[in-house]
Amino acid sequence: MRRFMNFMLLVQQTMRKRRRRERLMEKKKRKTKMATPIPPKPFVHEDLIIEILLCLPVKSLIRFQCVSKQWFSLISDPNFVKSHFQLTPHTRRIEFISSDFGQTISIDFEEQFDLENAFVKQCNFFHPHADSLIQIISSCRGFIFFHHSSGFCILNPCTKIHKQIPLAPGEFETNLELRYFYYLYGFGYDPLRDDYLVVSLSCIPAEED
Amino acid sequence: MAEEVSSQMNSLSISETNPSSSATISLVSGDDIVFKVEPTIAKEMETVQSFIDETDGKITTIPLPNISSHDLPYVIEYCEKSIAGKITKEFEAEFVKKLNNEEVKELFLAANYLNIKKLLDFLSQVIADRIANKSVEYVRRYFGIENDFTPEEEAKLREELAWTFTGVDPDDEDEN
Repeated sequence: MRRFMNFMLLVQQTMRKRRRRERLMEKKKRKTKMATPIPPKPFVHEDLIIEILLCLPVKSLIRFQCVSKQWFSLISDPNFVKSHFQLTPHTRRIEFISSDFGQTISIDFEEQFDLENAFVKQCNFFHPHADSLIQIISSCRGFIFFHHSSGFCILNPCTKIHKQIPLAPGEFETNLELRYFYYLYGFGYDPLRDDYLVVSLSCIPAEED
Repeated sequence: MAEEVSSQMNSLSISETNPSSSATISLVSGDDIVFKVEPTIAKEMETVQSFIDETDGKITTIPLPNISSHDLPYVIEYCEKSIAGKITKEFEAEFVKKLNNEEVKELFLAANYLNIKKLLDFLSQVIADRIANKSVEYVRRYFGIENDFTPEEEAKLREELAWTFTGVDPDDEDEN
């Protein structure tokens, strides 16, 4: 059973109620006028479209951005994205990132395996000639944080959108120090600010006697 | 299961014959067919119930001009199951099996008009499942949406999103 707990859906609810009231008024008017009802051409209102879009898988949603400008803005709206994330039952999925071909392959455990449909996409986050070694550092709420030859990157494997993360000032600045420092990285979500954080930690290992 | 459904379909068949009951509510479809239902069924349909409430229960004949006599029995069947607490995955699967995509859409709009949240939520998911692998063109036709991208804009977008265009079902289904 789906839960409707977020703001956007509440807005939809009230909109639906308002429209219902309007329809009732209309119906009453029609009744008093004794007009013959003309069956209207089925038209699906925007808030109903949103209800359907919220039930779609990500891949379909991204494709349907091509339907119209209205659909494009509905689907890319951050509030919609948030609602969709909250409502979607999280699938069990395994992600592969290939450094040789710059591809990601995602396999859903709950669907029949089919390499054709296994979410393959070229991701151009490395130079073709680079001797890339991808090191996945961590993942959080579906995002993958990894290191490769030209820096740090966060990838959304569902949308294939990735973002290069700039290094903190001072990081790797002094070659001399680099010999003695360890760098540790973390990636997490802050629900209070609704934002993601990359944390880097440098430390000097204790010298052994 | 099948017997249960068919007996229910009989029980809600077209009215006039029901002699008793001032308590029953008459729902009049857009094509003027009267369906008599128990007040508990009307309660499931918020739009109908609020109409009854607004008239202090004096009016028990409710015109539903937007809903056809084809769709109304399905809505009533769903409400009956809902009252009985018998909405199961099996029932829902059986319920939509016999409906084509256009019928599902009509029923979805009916559920919205009548404000039956459970049915609306269920049918949102059904429509989503049925269009998930459809082409962009199919979706435009299905919802009557006009493509307002320029050919250049659309081509560029499709190129960027090319990976989402794999595994799309062909459009040649015999749905109206």
